[in-house]
Amino acid sequence: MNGMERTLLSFLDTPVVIGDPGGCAVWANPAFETLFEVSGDDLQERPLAELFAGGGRERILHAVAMVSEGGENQRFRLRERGSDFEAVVSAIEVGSECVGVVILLKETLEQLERLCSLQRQLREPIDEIEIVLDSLLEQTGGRRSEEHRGRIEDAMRSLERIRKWSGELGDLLSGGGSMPDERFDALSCLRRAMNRSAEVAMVELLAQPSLPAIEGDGGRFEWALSRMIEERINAGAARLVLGARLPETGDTLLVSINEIAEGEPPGALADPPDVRQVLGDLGAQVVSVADPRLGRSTLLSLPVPERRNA
Amino acid sequence: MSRVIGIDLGTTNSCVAVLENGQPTVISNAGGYKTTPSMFAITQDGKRLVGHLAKRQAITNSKHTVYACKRLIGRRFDAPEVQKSIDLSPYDIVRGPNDDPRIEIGGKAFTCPEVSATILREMKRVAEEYLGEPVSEAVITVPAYFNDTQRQCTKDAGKIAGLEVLRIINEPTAAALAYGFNRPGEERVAVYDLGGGTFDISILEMSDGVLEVLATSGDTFLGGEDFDRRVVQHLLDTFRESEGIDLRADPMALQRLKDAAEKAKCDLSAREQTEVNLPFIASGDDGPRHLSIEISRDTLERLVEDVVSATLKTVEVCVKDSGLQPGDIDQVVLVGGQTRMPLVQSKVAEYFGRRAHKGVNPDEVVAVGAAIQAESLLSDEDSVLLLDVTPLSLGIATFGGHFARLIERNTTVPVRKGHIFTTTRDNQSAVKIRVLQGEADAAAENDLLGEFVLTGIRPARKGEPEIDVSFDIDANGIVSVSARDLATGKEQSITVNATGTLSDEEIQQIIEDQELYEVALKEGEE
Amino acid sequence: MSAPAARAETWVLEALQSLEKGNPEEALELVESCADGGADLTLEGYRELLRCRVLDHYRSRVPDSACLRRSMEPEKIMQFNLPASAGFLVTMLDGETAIGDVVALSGMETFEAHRILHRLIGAGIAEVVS
Repeated sequence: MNGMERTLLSFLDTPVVIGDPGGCAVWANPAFETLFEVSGDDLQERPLAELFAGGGRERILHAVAMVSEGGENQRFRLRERGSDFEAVVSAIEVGSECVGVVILLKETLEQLERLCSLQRQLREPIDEIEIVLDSLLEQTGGRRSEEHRGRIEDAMRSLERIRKWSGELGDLLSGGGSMPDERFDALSCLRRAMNRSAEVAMVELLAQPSLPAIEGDGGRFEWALSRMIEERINAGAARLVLGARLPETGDTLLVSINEIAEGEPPGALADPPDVRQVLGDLGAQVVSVADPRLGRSTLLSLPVPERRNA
Repeated sequence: MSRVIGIDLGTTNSCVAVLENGQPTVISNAGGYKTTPSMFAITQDGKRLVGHLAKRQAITNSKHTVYACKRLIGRRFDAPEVQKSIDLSPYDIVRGPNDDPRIEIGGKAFTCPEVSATILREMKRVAEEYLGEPVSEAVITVPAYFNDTQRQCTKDAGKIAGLEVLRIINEPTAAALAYGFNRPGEERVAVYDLGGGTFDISILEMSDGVLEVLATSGDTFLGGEDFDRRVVQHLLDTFRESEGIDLRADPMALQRLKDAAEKAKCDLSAREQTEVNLPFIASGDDGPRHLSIEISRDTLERLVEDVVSATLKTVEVCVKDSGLQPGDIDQVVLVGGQTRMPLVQSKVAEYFGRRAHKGVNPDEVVAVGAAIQAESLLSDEDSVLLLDVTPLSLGIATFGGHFARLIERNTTVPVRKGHIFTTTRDNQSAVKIRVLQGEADAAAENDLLGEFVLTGIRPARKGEPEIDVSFDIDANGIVSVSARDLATGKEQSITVNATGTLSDEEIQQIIEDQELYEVALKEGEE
Repeated sequence: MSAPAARAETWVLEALQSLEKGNPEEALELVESCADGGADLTLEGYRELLRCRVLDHYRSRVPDSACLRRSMEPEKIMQFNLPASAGFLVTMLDGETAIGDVVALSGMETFEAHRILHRLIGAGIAEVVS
């Protein structure tokens, strides 16, 4: 490959890496170096397999071997550094001899978004079927209806499985985390946030055992919670009690961050704008109350979606 | 010199033993139990529970309690056993970055070796408390059918738990060792292992210290828990009939019923009749309701008869696979607590035409065997050492998708074998070696253990280069492969690491995370 | 001061007085009756803080590390009109498991589990192992 070709590749936003037939890296463009956090010097003669993680490593090795042996170009899906790519591996040939391989990673965001959207749309018919089954079950009474009830209950169990699989599909599409507009388990977020701060302060979690899922981006909620906890610890809170419960009204989930203190009122505290933004996006109402005898409670009231997926 | 312990890392329960003055001792935990439930849980407030404590809250905290992780270890996420576990388990099983199943509890995704390590660490702790000294080495048992990846992952679990795993041995081998079947001459033994969550049957032939598994079969989703479930169902139905209250949706009631059912089942192995008493099991409009139901051994046998018959069908297939007749078996060994049930004992005796060998506790026999093996590894005398065989054939994928066997199943391990391969195209400069384990002729139908690429082969016409591929299976059943181009001398070797196993860095990271956690726990406790 | 905050001020004071008198049940009744079932967040905030205080009160009387045992014969316990959740907790009192572990193992809300355990102690059904 000559200098001009390399310069052209350097301007591409698409990550590209070039390897020798032996499977070692020779050159990568800046987009690749940024994505994989490597510099040109680190890259020289480094086995390509070392650059990729998990299942991707195996697929890259396979593709390079196939292409080096004179096979056709290889295309496959790859997940690297939290993004989805279509990898295209092709040979650089001089005459009929393969002198190198080019690996190009094309981001497949559009396709992913379409799949995410389909997965979200699945929820609506599932919810509708559940409502119909619920009402059928209510209308089926008496001993002679036992068999019918049994069948409806079977159908409801199957529906639950579809819901579970749909949820898993969502998780897979989002790479294991929650995706925008997905539902999330606030309790897990609280638990993780608590684990993170457990080394620097006394943090306890008081929560009801099963709580409804909340609509929104769980990752951002968890981040906001962690920031709020951090702010309070930095402001001098030595003991925090995190709470999560469903009040009698049942239409909201109350998440609380309680700073337990006695003797003097806790100092004024304003959560950063980016935290307020995240909470606002989730439709959360935030109220803070302080009492010199008890401490301060910051209460987040999160709307519970109509059809709950506990 | 520090002691080496033997650990039976079971699907449902685990057990640890050590040899003291030549005699095996099964070590009790702080609660006085000799077996510890293979369960790991994270409670609402983030507490990590292992063993009995985890079991006590398994139903009320079912989403965050892991059991039967052994069914998942070393398998790919898409494997049928994993998919079935996903359907049956209340906890979430998600796809890991290496295509491995991961268990999501308490807001964290755990690898299977990590979960198994929590159980192993508990067993290590139990042993250390008893011995009064640190323990750093162990022999761990695995089912005879475990492939390389599953063994490798079990070894990783040991490493995470702070144990150097001196040897991985097969469970039926350990059972045979514990029963003292190590005499000169030939003996054919059937090991009927009905544990909490799995059923295994192995037909072994012992000849001059070499133990060969003639056939092995089983069901990874059948065990003592099926018996418990039947009893719980019976109690639920009886209570609903008499009181008109359905307890199915009440986790607290189910937790109590499950514990009581297990106890009643054990009682009925020794007695003809028992009573289940659970006061305040529910609240009715007119006050509390108590459950009090009598169960007879006959009732229990009627409830589980089909489950016992299902095990015998598997036994029949296994005996047929071994090429033997039931009457050819010299000894029948019972393993697993469920084999205490008189119905199981009588059905097995009826099938083989002989009563099972007595003398060792079926819950503890595998751990005892592991401890005997541990001791023999330390001592100079190797007279008690049994030699295992590889349970599955090992080979590589060749042109056209065929599977070339390099080491046939039932070959005594350790073993090393090599074979010369060549290229299929002119000027082919690289070859990919795909290492497989299994019995199918089509490569795709066997388990892929791993693959690597041998590059830099000198340009030549197809068929000319000579590549020497050699396989090593060590005494643990763990595979390593090397490939050498005989013309250039270029060599590449790997310890086969399937995608489901953890890298050394990942293991180190997990160990560090856990050390951090342990510090946090102690501070919290103070 | 807002109307809810002013209302809260009164019942916080009364609840704390009840606690000082060693009567957490009275304090809790006040807390539960004064909150608007989630409708007013300011009141809910005070409710949270008071629940934490009552929990501290429970723990100061019987620490999480203490063990409880049943203090009467099962036949006698069965004469009480206990809800199923209390009955479940009674079965877990073996004199060896610490209160903190009983609460964790019960799978119940921490606060609720403590509340029931203290009611059991109050009713003479359970006692602390000395």
